[in-house]
Amino acid sequence: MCRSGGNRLAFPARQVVAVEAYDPVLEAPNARVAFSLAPTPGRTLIAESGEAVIVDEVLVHQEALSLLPSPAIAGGATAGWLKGFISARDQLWPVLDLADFSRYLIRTTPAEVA
Amino acid sequence: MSEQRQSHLVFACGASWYAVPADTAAEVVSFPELTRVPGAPSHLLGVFAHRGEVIPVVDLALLLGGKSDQTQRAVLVRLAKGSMALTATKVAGVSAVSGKLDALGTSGAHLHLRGPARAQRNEVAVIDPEGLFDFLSQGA
Repeated sequence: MCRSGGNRLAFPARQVVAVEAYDPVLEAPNARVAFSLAPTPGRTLIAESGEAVIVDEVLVHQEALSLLPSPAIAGGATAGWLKGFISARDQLWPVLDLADFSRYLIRTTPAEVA
Repeated sequence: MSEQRQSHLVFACGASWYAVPADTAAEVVSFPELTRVPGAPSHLLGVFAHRGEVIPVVDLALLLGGKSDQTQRAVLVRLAKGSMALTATKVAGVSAVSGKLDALGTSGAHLHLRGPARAQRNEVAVIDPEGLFDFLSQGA
């Protein structure tokens, strides 16, 4: 589970092979872009396939949680990388496919902030 | 298009009045802090959990090119294919709507608004909930 600009995100733990400190040399896309916010340094989540996403904060949730299906309207807006939602800490967290979300961010990140 | 009189839930979002068929309007809800959906368009304000279901909240004013009214109230529309909450600043109640049901626009979300129609003393745009749901589900 992660935070990005005050927003909640979650990724399946099995998709995250490493969490690294911010390194500008990596040039990973920043999750803040998906909320129309300016990127800031944070932690970098790395997928097995090499894709990466920068988030502000990483929180590890140990318990397995059931995935609530994504409503069609939310799914339609996210081109398949939104897998559903989990309910944790009395709040909903969108669960994203890490590699697909990284590719989406690369496509949508404005050149001046890339 | 034909004239029609049918029960609708009539509500306002900003300065405009809307109506949805009463049999699709499940309830009026006050929604809690929403969970934003990354990458979603601005009219999709976020989602909230309601009786075990994840409900998307659509700001009608933003969707139709207006300014958001920052309300935390919405009309929960339930369809066979899913649910959506449409923001509402005022709810007038269930009323018969009379008038023509021609599409009020030629593209986008306006294609799923019909009229001109009247309910009580207000001019209303009648929402085709199935059409609007399909339009929003296609990533609009």
